[in-house]
Parts: sequence; structure tokens; C-alpha cells
Amino acid sequence: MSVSLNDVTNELNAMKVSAMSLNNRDEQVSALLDGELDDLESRRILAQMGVQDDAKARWSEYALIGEAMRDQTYSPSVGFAARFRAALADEPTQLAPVPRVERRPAAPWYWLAAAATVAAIAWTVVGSVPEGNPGVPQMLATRGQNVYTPVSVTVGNRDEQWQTVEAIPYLAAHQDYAHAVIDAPEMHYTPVSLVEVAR
Amino acid sequence: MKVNSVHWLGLVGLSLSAVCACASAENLTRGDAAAYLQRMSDAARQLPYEGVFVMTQGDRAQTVRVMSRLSGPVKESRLMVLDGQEREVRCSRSNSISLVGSGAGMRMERRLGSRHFPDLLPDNAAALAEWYDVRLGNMERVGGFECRQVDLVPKDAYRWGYVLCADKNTAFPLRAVMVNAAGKPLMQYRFAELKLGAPVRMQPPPAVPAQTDGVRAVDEAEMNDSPVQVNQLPPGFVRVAGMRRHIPNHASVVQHWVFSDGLTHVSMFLEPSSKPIAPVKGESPLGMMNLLKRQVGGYEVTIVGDAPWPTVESIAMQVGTRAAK
Repeated sequence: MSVSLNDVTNELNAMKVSAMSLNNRDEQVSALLDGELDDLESRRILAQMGVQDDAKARWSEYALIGEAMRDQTYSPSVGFAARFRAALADEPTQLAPVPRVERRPAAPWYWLAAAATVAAIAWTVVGSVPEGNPGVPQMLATRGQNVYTPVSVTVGNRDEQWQTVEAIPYLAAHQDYAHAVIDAPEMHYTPVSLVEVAR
Repeated sequence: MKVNSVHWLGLVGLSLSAVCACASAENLTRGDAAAYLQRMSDAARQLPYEGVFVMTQGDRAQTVRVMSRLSGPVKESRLMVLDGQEREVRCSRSNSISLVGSGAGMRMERRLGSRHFPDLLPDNAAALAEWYDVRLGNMERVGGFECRQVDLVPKDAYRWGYVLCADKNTAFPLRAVMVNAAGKPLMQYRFAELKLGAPVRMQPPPAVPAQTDGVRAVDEAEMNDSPVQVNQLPPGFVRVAGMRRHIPNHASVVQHWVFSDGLTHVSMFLEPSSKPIAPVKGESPLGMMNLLKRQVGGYEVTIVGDAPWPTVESIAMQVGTRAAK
């Protein structure tokens, strides 16, 4: 079964209608769903709600959505996360780190916006550059850790001229190490800006 | 109607449970995974075979006749594209020759690599178990052979996943699908017919032309003397090749380095920059190939690979100038 982004958005809209009537306690739930609380705080709120066992399971399932939105893990066994990610993959992508949103008094709508701009969410563990043998590449991370931090943001429209003038020779040379028989696919090019911290 | 948070969460859970499906694949231990991958790699490299496979990439498809055998300790293979323009690829140990067209119009292109389906896994395939979970799935039937589905699930964002199908008896790969993190196929190979294990007759390859394409290999010491270095690589990636080569439309000789984890290959091109370079990102429609060009000191650096964007971007952002000695 395939789930389009529209389906997901409609589902979220339905949830949003429910969330609009939440009281102060529900604001905390909103914060929970916005990912603005740490796990400890999340569990405390769930416990306060008096539905801890049931809510834990729901929270776990909700975490899958969060992971899908941030693309932090890949688990093909989780059907919904994969389909949700697939739906998002069809959306225009903006690759830019975005600072964590400040807590607002009431933010039930925020995570709808987050869904629409999901690719702009950054994850923030940056691998430090170890000192060592110059010229000998080091690993960015130990296995299992996610250290990728997007640093580029699209700043213009597609540049087809760049493809014809500049890119093809690189693609042709790289084909030496791609699969035999396969030709380089058509590529699309856009100017990007790289965040200052990464330069 | 006022809906409290319990109902709200219940709605989330109900929605999720309605669409959540769990795979029944068997997760191999790391040791078993390494052994299984190595068995597949050895089978593809050592068994003689002859057959026809179909390659699909997006809306493009090609039918290819392939034959392969060991010639002494060295594998040699021949691939003939059966659709569209005539094209033949002859692969030997470390390079290949493409013959495009026919008759007097035929042209010969030398390639430095020789990877082709079904021999996609590296010689040391066991090492891939460090970076991929390996799951055995159901039995299937491909090209008339019973085969076991084998999923290579990347443990991080730096490589594509693969769904393979390995012959029940020999572990020979009969199908290979490269998939992205959403499970969407990026490229597929599948045998339509296959004769496996029988002697293969093959015409001798044409004489390899002298290396006139302006490529000169550089050794590790020369690469380490480069004015530019890569400080870090994504997990599992190492530098596997380095050369200087002429690139069309480029006045100066370009350094070409290749990084790989054994399955994924990423090229880095390095050349002096005579003017400021605005960063450019390139991607294929399905996202299988990515490219990033940027300026590092007085150099243009172009990273391109059949790799996820995080891999290309991470490598590009770890390029820096080397301090003068």
C-alpha cells in the first residue's frame, strides 16, 4: 500500500483539528510531538497522563514518524516509516540546517509545518577532525552513529548550461568506476550555498 | 467535539498500526553475513556462466548478453548490449574496453574499471558485513533458478541498499536491485536466462590499445603530496585509486581520486581554479548519482558518485588544503 504525502498531510490535519482544543496539559503533548522535549520529560508527561503503558507504545510508534521525517534510520521492516519517507522523497527538497524552533505557548500546528519542510530539519552531531596522518582519510563516525550534517542549501534555479559545458566530462570519467554497460544518467544542477561553519 | 490527548495519541497509534508491516526476513549474525556475502562474490567471479540479463534504470531498460569465465586465475567477460546502438564491453582483471558501433564506424573506449552484473560485490565481500545488515528472505525463482532473497541493509546514510537473489545451490547472484532509503529501486539487474557452470567459449578480446587517453596512475605518496587532502571519509570508505587525467574542455590535468566501501564508488576531481567557483549541486532524477562542485583554496573540487547525497556532501566538505611543508 502506498501512502502519498497528501494522505499523510490529511491524516495530520485530522490530528490537528483534535489538537486545537487541547488544554495546557495538551500543550505539553504538543511539545512532545514537536520533539521539543527530551525522552525523560516525554516519559514524565506520558506518566502524568495516566496512560503510560498504552502511551509508551504510541510514543514508540510516533518516534517512527519522527525518524522518517529526519531520515535518521533506515529500517525496511517498518512499513509505515518507509512509506512515509517515500512520500516525502517526492517533495521538493531543501537541504539546510535549521535551528531548533523555540518553544511557543501553543504550537499544535508546528509539526504540520515541519512535515511540509521536513528536509530542512537538521541533525546535529558533527564529527570532529582528528589529528593524525595527513593525507590518510579518517572515518567520520563509528558505526551506528549518525554524524551527517547537511550543509548545503539551494540558492537558485536549475542550471542546464552547467551540465552541457562542465559536468559531462566528470561523469564520463567517473563511469570508469561505475557499472559497465550503464551510461551516466541525466543530471540536474542547481547552485547551492554551503553554510559558513563547514567551510 | 473536544478530543483529549489520549484520543489524540490513540488516533496516531491506530493510523500507524493500520499501515505498519513487519518483514519476516532472517537477520544473519555478522559472521554468517560475511560468509554469505563472500560466497556470493566468489560465485560471481569464479563460476563460468552465459546468459541474458535485463538492466532497468528509471524508465530506461537494456537487454545484455553476458558470458564470463576464468582464464587462469583471471576472470574475463564479454557483455553485448542487444538493444539500440551496438555496444560490446570486454572486461579483464582491472580494466575494460567498450566497442561502440560496428564496422568502420566502430570506436573503442578504454575504461579503468571492470565491474558488471552479476559480479558487483568486491573480492573481499566479507568486509561489507561491517556496514550492512544482511537479511535472508524468501525463496524466489529468477531465470529458471531457485534463489534466496538477500537484503543488504545499510547501517547508515552513506550507502544504498541492495536486494539480491542468490542461487540456492551456488549463491550465484541472479538478481540485484539497488534501492534508496525508502526502498525505491534505483537500478535493477535480472537474469532472463542463464547457463551456469558449463564451459564458456569466448572469442579472444581485441588488442588493448595503448593508453592514449591521457590517464596516468599516481601512487599513494604522490597523492599524499597533493596540495589538497580529504580529512575524513564516511565510515568504511577508503581511497582505492588515484590518477592524473585529461578531461575534455579542461586546460589543465585533473587529479582523479576514487573512494569506495567496496560497493559504492565516489570520484573526486581536483584541478587549479583560475576564477572563483560557485558551489553547484547535481543529482540524477532518482537520486542515484550525486555531484557537488566547490572551491577549496585555489582549487576546484568536484565530487561525483553513485552514492547518496550525504556521502557526496560529506566528502566534499572534508576536503581542505594541506599546510605547506
